[in-house]
Amino acid sequence: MTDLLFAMAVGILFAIGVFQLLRRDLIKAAMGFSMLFTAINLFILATGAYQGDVPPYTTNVEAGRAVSDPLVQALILTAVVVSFGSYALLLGLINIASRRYGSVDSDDISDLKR
Amino acid sequence: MLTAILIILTVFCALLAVVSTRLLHATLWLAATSALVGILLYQLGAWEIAVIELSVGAGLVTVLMVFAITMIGDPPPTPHVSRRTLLIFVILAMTLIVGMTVNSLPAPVDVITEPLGAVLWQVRGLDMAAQIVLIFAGVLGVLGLLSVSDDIVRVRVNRIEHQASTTPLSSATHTTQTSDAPELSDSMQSAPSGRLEKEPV
Repeated sequence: MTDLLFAMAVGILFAIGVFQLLRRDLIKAAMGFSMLFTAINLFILATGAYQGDVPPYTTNVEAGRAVSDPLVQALILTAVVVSFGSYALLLGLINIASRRYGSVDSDDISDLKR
Repeated sequence: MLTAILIILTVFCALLAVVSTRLLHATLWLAATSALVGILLYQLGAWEIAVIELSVGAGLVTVLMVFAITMIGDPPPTPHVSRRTLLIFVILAMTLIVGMTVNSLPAPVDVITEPLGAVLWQVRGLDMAAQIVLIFAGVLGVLGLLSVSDDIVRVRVNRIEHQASTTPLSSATHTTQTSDAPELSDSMQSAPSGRLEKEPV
């Protein structure tokens, strides 16, 4: 049941992220980018967390209980930081585009059509 | 039960971020989505990731977003999304795809049982080093991008000067230069005046 709930949540977040990414407004597209990263992180963790029933931090694990794989969380930690860096870069690019073309509407940026 | 409520709230906030007409409101709903995802990560047992998601996703990204909206300016409210049916279909399709993927994923064979700190700093030490390099590269890139506006003006002025120096002086060039002048007027206003005064030939 929880698996299904997480699958639905990730799917909806992913869909909203893709939908936002395809908007004409570049700032809303950046929001979709951020939402997409959040959905992907949740997806990776939701698929990796249920392999063990004990988080990978505790040292005194009872016998017979499986410890979750910490590699998933280590990778997500990297992904969160990298997504933040790329998001900052994206906003910087949007700022430059708005200064150069006077608009953040991708249709108004006519140089992209040439 | 708590997880189900959190998931429903997360989806609700994400939908409101799409539907909001004001960018600032959409940013706040996006921050709420990230905060709720952080709580979900905590529920899954990933405490450190939850803290990072809260601080980066709900904090830093929101600050960056508000900063960008302040610099660019909040445009007038746009009309509501007219393609709601399309959005519903996209959501249904993605839910089905991800649901099928999650249910058909094989279980990992080799599970590492070391603590997270050991995995992070020893097994994935190269990742951490690359992460630090990426953070600094991102900061330097953003700083360079934010300071590039004067360079754009300088390139345009140099191009005009180059055109003026290579084409012979005639009435035709005068008309060309005068027709170029209004196009540059906006960018010239923000540039240092000393550099631009020598532009007319």
